Amino acid sequence: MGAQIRVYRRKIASTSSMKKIFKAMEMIATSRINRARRRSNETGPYANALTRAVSAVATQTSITHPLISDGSESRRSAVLVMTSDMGKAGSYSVNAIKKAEGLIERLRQDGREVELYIVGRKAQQYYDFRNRTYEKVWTGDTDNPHVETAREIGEVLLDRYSTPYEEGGVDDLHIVYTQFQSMVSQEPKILRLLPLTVVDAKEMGEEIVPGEDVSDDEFDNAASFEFEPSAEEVLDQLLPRYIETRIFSCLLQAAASELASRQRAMKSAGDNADDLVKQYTRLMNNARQAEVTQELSEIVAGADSLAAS
Amino acid sequence: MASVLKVEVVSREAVVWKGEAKYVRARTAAGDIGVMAGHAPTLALLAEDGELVIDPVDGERKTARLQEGFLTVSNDSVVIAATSSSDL
Repeated sequence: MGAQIRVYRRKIASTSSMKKIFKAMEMIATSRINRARRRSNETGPYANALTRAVSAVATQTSITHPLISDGSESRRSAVLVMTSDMGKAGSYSVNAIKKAEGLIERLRQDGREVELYIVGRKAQQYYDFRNRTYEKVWTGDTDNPHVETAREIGEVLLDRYSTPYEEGGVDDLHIVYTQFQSMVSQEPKILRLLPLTVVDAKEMGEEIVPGEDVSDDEFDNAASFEFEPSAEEVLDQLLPRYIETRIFSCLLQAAASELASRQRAMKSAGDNADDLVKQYTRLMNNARQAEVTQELSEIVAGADSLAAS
Repeated sequence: MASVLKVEVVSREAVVWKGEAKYVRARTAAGDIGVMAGHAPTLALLAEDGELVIDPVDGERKTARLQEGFLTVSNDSVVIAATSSSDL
């Protein structure tokens, strides 16, 4: 067998074994997207209840709480970027990082210092490679986030936020995550988590769970809420929960987006592998045909020269 | 005035129970709070690890244990949210 044919045969074998891997990864991603979306939806009622409660306290009472009062000027910001641990998800992480870079640039132009917090190994690699500093990084469960991770992130960021600027604290807090819009469309988004902008509960609810209704009628007589034990204490207790829940729902959205991107990337990789196999098969057939033709003409030439002698 | 409460118990993972009830009792830091139809709008923090009792319109009394919960009452609708809850 000719060398050419052997080369092509080897290429076909390795491409089709890679295709199997792509196929498997695509299937894993597909099955996990549904789970990630289900988890994202399941936290919806709790997140909505929290949102309603927090905005009930925040809108009605005239108390000033550091977490809602909008600092007149902001001098240092914290940015939390959510990316994936693993590659093979197309441009998922790159898009989130780009969005974050744009935000950081804007904040810097406003004359603020920026502290960076990272979720996912991809962003860590990005900033390590460029020798840029970041404060803290969480990795290991980007495609299946745990509540504990969200709680830890929430605690760290809340602690940074509670520290006054003069002692090195931050004045506001932004999250860059990828919103899951549909299986084919995921968009990186910026969310300002702190200080809380007190908005209408419905609006906030929609941000947490797209498509889920927060009924307005429950809120109509909200002005007369009684707080137990007191409005300040309720807010003190609820806000950390609220922030942690917001972070968790962002993590879940990001996870669903990551898996959807991965599924799409692996699908096109599998399709490309198919095309390559087809191409190599044709080239291999060409090579075989050429070899056969050459052998034939050699035999004929040999017979001719024998007959002539 | 409506005579039943619309109750929803949610934990971080799921909606634990949803239905109509005559009476709801929960443990706050200061003591038990009982809610019946027509209760004033209230937002109360619940005890770290407290018992929740619901008397549904139909069926047996239900109880559960809640962690880090809070209770909202408005317009005869009661929402109890907790980070975790045992089954009702």
